[in-house]
Amino acid sequence: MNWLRKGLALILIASAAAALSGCWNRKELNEISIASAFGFDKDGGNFKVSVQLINASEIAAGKGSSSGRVPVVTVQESSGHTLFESIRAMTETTPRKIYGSHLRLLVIGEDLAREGIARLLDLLSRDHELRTDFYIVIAKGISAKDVLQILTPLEKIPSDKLYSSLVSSQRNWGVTATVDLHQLIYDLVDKGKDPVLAGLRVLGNPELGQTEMNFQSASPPAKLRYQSLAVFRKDKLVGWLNEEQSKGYNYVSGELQSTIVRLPCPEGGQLAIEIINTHHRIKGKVEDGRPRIDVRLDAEGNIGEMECAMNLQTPQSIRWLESKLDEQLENSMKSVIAQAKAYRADIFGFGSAIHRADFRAWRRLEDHWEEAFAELPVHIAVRAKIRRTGSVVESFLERMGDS
Amino acid sequence: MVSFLYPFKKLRKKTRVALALREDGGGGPVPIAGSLERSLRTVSEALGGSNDLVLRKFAIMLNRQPCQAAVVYIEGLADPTNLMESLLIDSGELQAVLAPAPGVSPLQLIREHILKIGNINGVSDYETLYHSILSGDAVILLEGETEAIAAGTGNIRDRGVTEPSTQAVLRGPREGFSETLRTNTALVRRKIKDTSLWMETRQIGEVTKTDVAIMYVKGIVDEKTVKEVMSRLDRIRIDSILESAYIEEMIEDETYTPFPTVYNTERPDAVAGGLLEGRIAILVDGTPFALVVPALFTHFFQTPEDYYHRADISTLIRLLRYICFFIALFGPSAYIAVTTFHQEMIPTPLLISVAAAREGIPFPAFVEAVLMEITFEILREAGIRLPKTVGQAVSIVGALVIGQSAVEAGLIGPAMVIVVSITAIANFVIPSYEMGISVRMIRFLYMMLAASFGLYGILIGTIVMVLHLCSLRSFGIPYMAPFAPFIAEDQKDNIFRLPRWALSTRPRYFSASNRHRQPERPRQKPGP
Repeated sequence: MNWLRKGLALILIASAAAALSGCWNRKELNEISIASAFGFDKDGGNFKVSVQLINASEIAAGKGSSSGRVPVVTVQESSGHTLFESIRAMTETTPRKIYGSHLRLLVIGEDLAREGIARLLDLLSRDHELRTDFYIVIAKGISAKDVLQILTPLEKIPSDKLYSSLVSSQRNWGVTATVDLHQLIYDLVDKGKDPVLAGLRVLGNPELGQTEMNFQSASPPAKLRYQSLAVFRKDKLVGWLNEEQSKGYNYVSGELQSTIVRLPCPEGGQLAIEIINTHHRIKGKVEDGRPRIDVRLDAEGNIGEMECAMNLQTPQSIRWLESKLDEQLENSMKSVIAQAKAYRADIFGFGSAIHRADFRAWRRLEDHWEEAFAELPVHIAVRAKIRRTGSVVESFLERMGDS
Repeated sequence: MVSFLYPFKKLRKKTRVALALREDGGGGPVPIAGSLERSLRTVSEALGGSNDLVLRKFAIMLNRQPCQAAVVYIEGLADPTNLMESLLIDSGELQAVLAPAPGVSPLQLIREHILKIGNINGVSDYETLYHSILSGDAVILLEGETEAIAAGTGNIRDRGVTEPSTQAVLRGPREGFSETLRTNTALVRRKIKDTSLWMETRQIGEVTKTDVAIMYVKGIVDEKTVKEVMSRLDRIRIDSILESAYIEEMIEDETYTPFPTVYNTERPDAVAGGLLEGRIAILVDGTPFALVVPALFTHFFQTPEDYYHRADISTLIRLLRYICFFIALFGPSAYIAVTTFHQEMIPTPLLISVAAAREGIPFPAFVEAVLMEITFEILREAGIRLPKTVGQAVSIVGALVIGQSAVEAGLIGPAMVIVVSITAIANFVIPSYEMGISVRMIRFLYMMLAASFGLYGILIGTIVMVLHLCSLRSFGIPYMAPFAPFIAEDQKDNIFRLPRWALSTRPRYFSASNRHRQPERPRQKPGP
């Protein structure tokens, strides 16, 4: 009958729908532990994995109760030959399955980073549970596990603090780099670009930083701080950039949104200019088989602070400041390029620029790009504009000088 | 379809046989006997000697001869005061008025000269007589006559025209239908004072003999639909019609669907609006709820008030209703799916809050949701039937016990309380109670799907629901019109409610022949 056939079709469709559904792991919220950060360290030949887990019930209990703060995270660690093993082995110590979708941060210890990070990344990119939008940082001079154990005074969840301060320092200060898994793998695969990761340090006493003293005193005994960028050649850490060079890196790679540039006044003292907008272009060229790079940077800035008497009312003075700013930006960029050449790490993607410009030449160059990069001529052209002087034109310091 | 309904078909046949037994052995109408005594006895026996049957015998002087007569009526249904007054006038006075008129039968005399009542019918058989007195007429029987006179003295106690309780409005007429058919048809006629408002009546119900009026505006309505409605009504064989829902169930296109395909309303203005769109109203005696057909999905999200407020706010409110429809449908199921299958979809801070709220809850999210939903349904059902004063107690207990204590005791998470409450409130936003019921029922299905398959299950369920909705028809018109099939022109009054001057045509499906509400030119958009 028609009905029989209809019914059969319906049952078939229903069973197919049930069987063909993809993921099949129902897990209640109180059966999982949300991991906010992973830390990878070297442990002899093995990996040591530490994970910062969010203790959700403590967050809820903290609301309204005045019993003082308790740590809302717990750090667990385990080790194994492979990463996957070590993460699963963690169930030996944690009561719940670790849930990685909400990972904010991946901290890699400096020792491990010097040996190479590529093999760590396969699991992270292969596992369906992980998203690729967490940031990767390198713990400088300290193990990743110790970094994860530091408690933070303002944010309850330390990795939240690390995540947001990385984003805000990249956006407003420009000396760090926000690199997520996707970007990192991209850089590793691209022969014409080497990766850069933000460095993370612990200032103060890491031992005390793990205790509640860290959020009970006004000035915490241990602070987490992003400092300088870690330079990689292929997947191995080869060195660090200082603050000025880090800024220079961001100028060249165009990652910079805003920062402060300090300039000397003509008659002693300093003035600070806020860069509000930059526009960069990297152009590769191959002339007579020899590669060269043109970097062009257009920057716009405002005068943010002046500690000297200087007349800003004339176009000449602004033009003078602009030329100084050009010089300053150019110096930063030159410095970082020289440093990168010294490390033989093409962190700017100049190789890719050459590749885009002339792929035949690139094919010839790519095998010994490290050497070629070290001798690559880079021409820098900076054009800075000063747009505004803030809500006053002249500094009151000038009038004080008159009286 | 045929084989599936077979047992029901059989049942129906049996009922028909049983009904037929009640009728007099098929001998046709029994004529009224010439003898008054016998007639009265027959009537009295037919009604089993019920004592609300009044048989008032009297003598009347007609053509200078006394004539035995009787008035028969049911006390309470009929108010024969006027009738009696005109019959029992002083004989002397009557004689002064009426000179003997040979050749005029007493019956004619009463009919034409004595009765001061508008609605008079001749009755010649008992069946009609019974129906007349049971509808509230008073019947005058005369000795030696085989015809009786039924005078319309119907005076059924009416609740009066009061404000409709199910479809209250902020702005708009506050009159609602009552239980009397005449009152209701008059209320509609008062809105549409045109000869083209036609009305056909049927008596449905072998025992109840309920009057059913079918109203439509000739010239706007699609004749085919009228014919279809009439034929469906004529097909009804049932002993009783106590409410319009009886008719609704007998004429709707598809019984096995959670969605209503017949619109009902208590408001004359809603009926009038429907009639002017080319739809058909079915009014049933004994209930304030009139049916309007064909009814499409979108009608259940519109209220008469949409047309009484400004176009912009009406549009936004309609949009809000559709949003609420989806919230009411998917609220708990989406929560279940996201918290048990797709934690990665929630922003991290929100996930942490939700996880914190779920800590220590002993049930899985699905059980938690079902518990809360059932509790809510219990509270609602309890609240409906209770007197208003006690009803408040229910809501207090509900709010305190469910909202607070259950959370404090750690049985239910606060997030679930929020989800269930917003779902419940969103459900109340849907203007039609019938559509609200559909949503309530389907919601549980979605919760089960979400608990076993996550968002994937919800998606499959949605596809099935949309397919089903698109397969429905209401009196031959696609239920999802004008969404599917998409009619661009009818979007003017669908989710959007354009200003009145822009609503120049009627919905395409209802009014094939007469589509223009307003003369096409000049455009009536108010000038600057």
